[in-house]
Amino acid sequence: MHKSDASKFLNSSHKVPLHTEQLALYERYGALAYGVILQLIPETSAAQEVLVEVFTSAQVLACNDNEHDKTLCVVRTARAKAIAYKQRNMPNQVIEIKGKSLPEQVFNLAFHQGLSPDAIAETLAIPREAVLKAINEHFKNFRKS
Amino acid sequence: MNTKSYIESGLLEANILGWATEAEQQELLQYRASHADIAVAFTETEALLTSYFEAKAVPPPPFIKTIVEEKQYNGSVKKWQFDDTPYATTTQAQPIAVEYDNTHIKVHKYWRPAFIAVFILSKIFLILALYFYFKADAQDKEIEKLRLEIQQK
Repeated sequence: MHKSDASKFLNSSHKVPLHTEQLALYERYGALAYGVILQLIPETSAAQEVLVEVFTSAQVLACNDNEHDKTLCVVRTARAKAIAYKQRNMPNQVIEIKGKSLPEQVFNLAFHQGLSPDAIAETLAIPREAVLKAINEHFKNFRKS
Repeated sequence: MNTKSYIESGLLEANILGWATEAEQQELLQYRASHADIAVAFTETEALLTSYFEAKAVPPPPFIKTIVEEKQYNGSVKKWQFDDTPYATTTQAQPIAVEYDNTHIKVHKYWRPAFIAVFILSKIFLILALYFYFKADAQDKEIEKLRLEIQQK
């Protein structure tokens, strides 16, 4: 096939349908996204609803273009959707500070309660830099374990 | 700049998790281009975070795939049911029957042209049947008329 014919062929009706791409992403990253969502929303029925929302959204398709860090793109999308769901359906949730050390507290607020670094800094009355440092320490501890 | 303190500042994780400000993102882009150790640390942090989230992965119940598929094809699912069991036991859970309250049925795509062809053919045969019926009727009347004329002569 001529090169220009090949490009025409690819650009015409032979693109992979969107739903196939989303399903392929679900097959590969469904468990990962579900794990992220469950950290923020432990209630399984709500977490499953968010999971469906993630893999039927346009945002998750953008992760296909992100060849370099597809996994982390799915993590970011799942987290964003879970936080949006919480804000929509659980607006009056009380923020609890759990954990013995600062990295544990920061991690809990960030990954279980969905707070941004600025919100965590405000909640714990510490600078934003300390919040980011605590996140770094948390992942360092994970590497050691 | 002290690259070690930058690497341990948490800014790499903040960038990867999408928490960094625009200025922090630009700063990291510059540092990755100019400092090889920061570029390496960034790649390592990405790998660490990937393995962290992969370690926390929880397989969703199998019926979720059907719901995702259904929602992608139809735009919405009229009635769906999620599993309410605690997620610690979800991995061992058996698939549960999901009741769909859907008024549409799915048929093969070739049914549409087949149905249209049958519909058009039925109309053609109907028209032909009416045409030949009236033609035969007219001929019978003509024969009857001619017979009467012959008898009168």
